[in-house]
Parts: sequence; C-alpha cells; structure tokens
Amino acid sequence: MGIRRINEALCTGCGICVDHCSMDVLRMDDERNKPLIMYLRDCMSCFMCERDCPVGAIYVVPTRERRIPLPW
Amino acid sequence: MKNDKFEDIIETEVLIIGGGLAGAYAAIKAKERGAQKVLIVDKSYVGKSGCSSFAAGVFTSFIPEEDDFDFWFKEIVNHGEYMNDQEWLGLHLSEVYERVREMDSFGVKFAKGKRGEFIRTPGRGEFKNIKFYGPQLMEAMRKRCEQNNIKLIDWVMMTDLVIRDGRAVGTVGFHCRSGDFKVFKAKSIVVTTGGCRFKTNLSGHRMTTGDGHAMLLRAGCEMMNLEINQSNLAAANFEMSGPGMNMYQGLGAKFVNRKGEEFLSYYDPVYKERTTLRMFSGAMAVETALGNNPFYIDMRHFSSEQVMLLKEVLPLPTKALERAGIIIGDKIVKQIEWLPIGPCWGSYGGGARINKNCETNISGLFVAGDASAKMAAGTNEMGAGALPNAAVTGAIAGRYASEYASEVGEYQLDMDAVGKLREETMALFNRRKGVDPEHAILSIQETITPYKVAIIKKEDRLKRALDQIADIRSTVIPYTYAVDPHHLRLAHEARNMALCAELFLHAALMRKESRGIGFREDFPFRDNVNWLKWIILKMSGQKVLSKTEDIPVERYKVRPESTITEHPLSLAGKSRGLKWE
Repeated sequence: MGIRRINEALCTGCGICVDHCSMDVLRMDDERNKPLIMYLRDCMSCFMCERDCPVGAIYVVPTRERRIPLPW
Repeated sequence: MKNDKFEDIIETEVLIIGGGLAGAYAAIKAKERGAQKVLIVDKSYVGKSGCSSFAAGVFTSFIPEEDDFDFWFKEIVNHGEYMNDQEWLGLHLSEVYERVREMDSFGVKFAKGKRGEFIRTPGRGEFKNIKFYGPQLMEAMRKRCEQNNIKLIDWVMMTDLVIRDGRAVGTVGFHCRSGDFKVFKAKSIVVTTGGCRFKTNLSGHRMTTGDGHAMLLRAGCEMMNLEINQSNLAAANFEMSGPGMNMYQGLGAKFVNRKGEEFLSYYDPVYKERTTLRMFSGAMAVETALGNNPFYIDMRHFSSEQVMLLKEVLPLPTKALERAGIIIGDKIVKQIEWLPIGPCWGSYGGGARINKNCETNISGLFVAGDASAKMAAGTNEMGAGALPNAAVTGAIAGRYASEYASEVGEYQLDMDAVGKLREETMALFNRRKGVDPEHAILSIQETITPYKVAIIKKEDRLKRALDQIADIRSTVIPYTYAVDPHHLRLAHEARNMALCAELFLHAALMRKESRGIGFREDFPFRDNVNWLKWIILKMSGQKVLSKTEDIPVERYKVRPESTITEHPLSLAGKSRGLKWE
C-alpha cells in the first residue's frame, strides 16, 4: 500500500513531505493545505516522507505499488 | 508559435543537471573556483533525488595513513577485469580521502571512534568501508550548496541539450508540476543525472532512468562501457529502498538457495558471502538454471548490537524490514527472498566517456558520477564505484566547468533548435489519446530483465531483445501521451529508458567474450588477447556509430596476462552440473 495514511489531525500542512517525495507521489491540496496521495502507483515505499514529517503524521508500509518484472 | 518568444530563459554560468552527490560536489567546486552563478536543476528535489539519498550507509575510501596504495590499486584492477582506465584510478585513489574529509567538514555525519577516527568495517571483498547515516549525507550537501549561494531549481526535468557549433550552450526541459516548458542558457554544463537503472525495485533506481545518458546520446556524445551492466540485488516481494546489502554482507549475512545450501562458496571460495554483486547475480542465475531458486538472505543470527547498528546506519530499509515483520525489536526473525533486479548502468558500466577533466567530446559539456562511464571502476563496483566516484568526479567536473565558463566568450542559444526541441518535449502533452507511459515502461523492463538477457547472455537472445526494444521505440514510445505533468515525466523517462536499453543490447552484442556480468554463454572465455578493448558508441541522428579502442595496458601499472581463460561462471556452472546450451 506504499504511503498508507496521512493523519490530518496531526498534519500542519508544512509541505515538507510534498517537497521530499522524489517520486512526485504527493501534491498539496491548496484549498485545504493538506497533502494528497495523488500518484500512488509511483510510491516506492522509501519512507522518506514518514522520516521527514516533523509531527509524525505519515505511515508507510513496504507493499509494492507497481508491478516490476523479476529475472525469473 | 514564434521561436524568439522565450521570455523566461534562465541564464547561468555553470549549469548542473542532477542534484545527487556528483551534482552537489560539482556546484560547490565550481563556486570555489570562481564561478559567480552556479545552478543545480533536478527533476525531483536536490538532496532527496536519485541514488545518493538512498545510498546504503557505506562509503569505500582508500585512506593513505591506513591502507596500502599498491594493494588497493591492484585489487580494484583485478576486480575490474582490466577494463579500468588506470590513470583515472590513480587520480581517484589520490583524491577520494580528501573528499571524505571535506564532506565531514561540510556536516556529513560519519561513524567515528573515540579519537575522532573513521570507524571502518569490512564489506565486500578486501575493502573496508566508512559508514554514514543514509539520507543525512545529501541533506548536509544540500545545506552546503544553499550556504554557498548555489541556486537550486527543483522539479524541472531536462530533456535535451542545446548544442551550437559543437558546443553545449543550453538545455531545455519542463516543470514536473506546472508542465511549463523551460529554457536554460549556460557557459558550461555538467551532467550528473546518475545511471540508467530502469525503474527496478530499489528506491534510487526508480528515478534514475538514463535521462542524462539519453540526452547525451541525442547530442552526439561519445559513450563507453555500455555493454557492462551492473545487477543489484533486492528483496523479491516488498519494497526496501536502498537495501544495504554491502552492510549485511559485511556483518555476516548468509545466503541460501531453495535447498538451504550456502551456494556462494561454490562460486567464490575466497569471499563466499562477501563476494561481488556481479558474482552474486551470476551464481543465482546459474543456480536458477539448475532449478535451485528461490534464494534467501538469512540474518537471524545477527546480535542485537548488529541490528541496532543497522537501524542507525540504514534508517529507511530497516523501517521497511520492521513493517514487513522481518525485524522485531532488536532481532531479525525471518529470512527474506532475495534476487538480482534488472540490468543497469549504475556504480560501474555505461556512461559518457570523459577525459581527466571530466570533459566529453562536446565542448563545454562535462559529465560526472554515474552518468559518466565510471572510468576508474572497470567491471566492478568495488573501490571506485557510485558514491566515491560521484564525489571525486563531481569535484573535478565542477572545477573545470568553472574554468571553462570563465574563459569562453559570447554565446547564443540557437532559437530554431530550441523551438524544435520544444515541439518534441511537449508534443505528447498535447495529445488527447495515446499509449499509457506505464505500458512503455513495463515493456522495456520485461525485455531486458529476464536473467537470460541481463545475466547469462547469448547472441540469439540478445538479438531478439534488441528487436523488441526497436519495436517499442518505433510503435510505442512515439505514441505515449501525458494526461498531466506527472505523466509527462513518466513518458520522458520511458523514452530515455528505451534508448538506453537499445544501446545496452547493441553494445552487449559487440563484445564477443565474457567479462564482468556480461557472461556470454556462446563466448564463455575471458579473452585478454582480442578483447582488452573499450567499446565506444555514439549516435548520429538515428544511427549508432561504434568503434573499439585498445586499452593501453602497456602504459599501465597493472598488466594482465595475455591469455584466453574460461570465465569463472562457466567453470562453476559446470562443476554444479549445468550443461550450458
């Protein structure tokens, strides 16, 4: 499930997760000032957003979101 | 649309494309050497992008006070199977420790002992590694760039270089969030976009899609070592970012096949579990041909101190291991299915051919890090690959790009060329119907990932794969479309990956011997008589031009015997009972 939950009660809308997601999975909802999980298929469960969230609002699991061919 | 109406041309002296370690280093050194305006542009976020931010906590550095230079030199050449440019290797070893100390002064945290000395632990082979704390390295490098007034532009993906009269004068790209077309003008350009890792299942790999390689190829840059591919390994069934395999190997991880055999001792009796990635992938491929897959990494015997060390040095992958139920508290409780992922030009293998100043054959165009041909490394990541190479070449490229910028005169962008590139870059954005970029990406991966293409190679299979890629390049790529800027990035990544895949297969077919992971079932010999050669490719329009160049071993310190010997994988396969096709 990749990035699984953004706890909006904790989230301050600082936007660090949106900046630090190198796969461009997250975008800011400008009206509500909260991040949106917009492109889940590109989430690679790198845990950077969870690590960098200053209030611990994000929870990630390492489930693969994209089918990737394996060598055998 | 009129070509002379690009109001927002962004001008700089030194333009750096790619915000990993090589890019950050190039920028810092360019500034130190006198350039006033230095700019780094990244398709993601400088300091969080590419492989550097997911690097697995180990940095291999020769330390003059502790290590034997000749031993390191010889060991790296032996592992590189004499494909190393030994002049580059000399340069690498003489500069790498200086870079480590400098990064230390920039605020990069390394594991240190009581007297402030770097703590070194064994990793692959004979080399000891210095340890750092994962993503903190690039965070410190970004901060340093900001302190030095280096301009950073995040979320702009460069698509092409603008060449005028044989000189690189600018680039074009688009903003990955707004979708706006962007034009850059520079006196010198440094490409540090990383390798081409085909979006396989490691974090850094998911975004290093050969963007630099493809743009260099389209600009007519000479590329080298394209037939040499790396094959990293990772967890089969879940995501584990930069997995930290070198650390696990160093701490004594065991690797077993389906039957529970610790099979690596058959393939590398000296280093066994601490063998090279190349031998890992080769051994697993042979074992698979024998029906002995799947494979598992077993770390259940790690002490709680070792597990705590892993958590400290590898904060991201160990989080994945916790969530996957592999680490519970300070114990590792399960084995993990482990396998090679697809081929890549990563910490060694294909990239731009550069001289000792990191210059390419195109004036004003410099390349560093994984986007270069990793001249010092040969066919192995040990000693001179990835991060150490990024730091050393990044610093060199920055210095010389700055000098170049200070010496060149007036320059102008060719606005007709910019106009054409704008059409090419944005065309798929304007389409209302088209092929899903995801389909293109999967088709490329399915063609090159099978182990009988990526690891055990043979002419007929390589040709078939090459035909498939050519087909993808003519019937899929031109018809991809983008519903929004995010998909525009994916579509361009697919386009770049397809070109890289074609060149990889093209080069792999040329090398009619076995060296590195380029094990050829039909040429199972390491042929030092006929193949101590570098293969150099470049493109002219749609045509691939190729040549080989003798490696000047007679000038070199470490010289191979002029013999033809059976490749170790061929011998090991036979001893395991495999009948090669």
